[in-house]
Amino acid sequence: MRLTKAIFQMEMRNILAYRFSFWINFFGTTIGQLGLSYFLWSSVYSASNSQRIGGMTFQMMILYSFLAPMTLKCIHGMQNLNINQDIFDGGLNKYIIYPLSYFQFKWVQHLTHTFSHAFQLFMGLAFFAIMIGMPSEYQFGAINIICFLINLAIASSLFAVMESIMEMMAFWADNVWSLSVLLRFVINLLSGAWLSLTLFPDWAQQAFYYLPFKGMVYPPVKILMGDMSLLEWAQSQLMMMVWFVLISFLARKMWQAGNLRYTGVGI
Amino acid sequence: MIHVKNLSKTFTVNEKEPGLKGSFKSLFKRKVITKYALNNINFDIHEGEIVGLIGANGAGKTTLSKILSGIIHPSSGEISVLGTDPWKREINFRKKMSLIMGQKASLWWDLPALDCYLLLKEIYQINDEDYHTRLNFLAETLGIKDQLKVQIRRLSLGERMKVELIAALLHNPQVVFLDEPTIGLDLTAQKAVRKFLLDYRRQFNPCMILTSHYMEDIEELCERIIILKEGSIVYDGPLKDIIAKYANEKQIILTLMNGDIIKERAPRDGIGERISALLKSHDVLDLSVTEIEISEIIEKILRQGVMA
Repeated sequence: MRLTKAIFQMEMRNILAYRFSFWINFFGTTIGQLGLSYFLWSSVYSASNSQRIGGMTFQMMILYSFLAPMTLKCIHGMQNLNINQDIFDGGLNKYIIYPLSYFQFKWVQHLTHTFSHAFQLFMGLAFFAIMIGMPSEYQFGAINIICFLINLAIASSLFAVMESIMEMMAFWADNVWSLSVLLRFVINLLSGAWLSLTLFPDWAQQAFYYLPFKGMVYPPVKILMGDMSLLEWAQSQLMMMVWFVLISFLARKMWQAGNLRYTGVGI
Repeated sequence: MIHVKNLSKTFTVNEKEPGLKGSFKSLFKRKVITKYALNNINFDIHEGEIVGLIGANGAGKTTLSKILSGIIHPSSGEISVLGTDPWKREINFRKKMSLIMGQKASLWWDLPALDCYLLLKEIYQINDEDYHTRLNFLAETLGIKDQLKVQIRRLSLGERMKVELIAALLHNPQVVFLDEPTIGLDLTAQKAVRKFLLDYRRQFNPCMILTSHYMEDIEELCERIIILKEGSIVYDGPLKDIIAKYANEKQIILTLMNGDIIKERAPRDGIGERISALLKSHDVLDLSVTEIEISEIIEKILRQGVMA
């Protein structure tokens, strides 16, 4: 626990070491995302002549379109775990030498970035409330925030383990960057980050239920918006945890096999 | 402390034909070649010894350090470091060893050294008292106390090496692998690092394996050397023995009255006769007899591959 705390503190110091980047990132993402959502959906709603699309009013849709990418950003954490880079240039050596678990280190680092982005998300939400105003249907309580944070931790961990599999391919191939891009594309599409999942046909929505992605963005945003039952939310978390265990097992096997091929270049 | 028996390591590398045609061809089919990085290596190293690993580029020195520290997997053979197989990467083993990579930073560049040390304190589970005592001792001995709050990326190369040394020794390791610890440093910094390593060894008596291309490092730090050539050991023994064993000549340096200097080599057993002859034929102001440079002897061994 002390080590986890120390890694968290170190990574926070790393993040805060570049405060210019921190604030640019915050304002760029928040205002950019809000502006984009507003103009996009106002055109869509005026063209459709309907008060609700996918069961959501215009304001709800804007809120969703703002929260979904911000939530996705939280889940992406540090974006790349840099495992492929560590394998490629021998950076892994130091983690092998230090008496710690490489994955524990990367996982805590990743969650620290998730935490930092979540802080930005809540600041952005406050900005949204002041500038645009919360939709009248919006219901907000402590339980929603707690569920949201739990969801973030689970989804972020699931993303980290999926990303680690892509990056560990570097044990066998030199350049695996495209695999990470592919993973992000699939997650963005099937998690509801780009579009609310209610906009997909029914058969697709049913199929998504069994995939690991559905619980990553759609439920946390919906639970934060007070638009999902606790039971439905809990089911999505359970599904993610099952996937987490399965993918972790696969990651462990890959790590064991990959290490036999590791050459520790760079020293 | 370190036991190595019949150790071998092979690597497979892809070979690609040159040119655009070769690049296209390699998309579908590549020629794979198996290379021996280490071939049937045997040695033992005991507590308190500093052993120098010497060899040309690609001789297998770094591969050997990596296998002994558990970074890479050996292809065959028996290895025991501190009574355990390094490849198992047991936490207890990792707590007792250290690897200093002169060409590779092991600390986090965006943070000051002190922040990195705090993390290492938790990683190695060092108690507060030991942490402060060791940190003070290491920082004072290396003369780097004032730089510990500066972001590592802003330090000079010499200062970076010093903060890396502190990081590697903070947990008081029993086995230390030093891979080119003075590479790129100026002469003053090289001397400081060497002096520090000797002081550290005197005080804590760890077993050290040093890989360096600088002969000064080897001569000042190591009593024993292992010379590797193409993955095999060609010499393993005391550094001083290498002169008696392989240098069958000595060097005579004469300074003449007119200021000229003559350097000449003569067989060990005929050195007296040669000096007499030189004294008779020249007006000599000063005369000295020296051993041939160790680097030259090692170069000769590497060239000719003399077996131990």
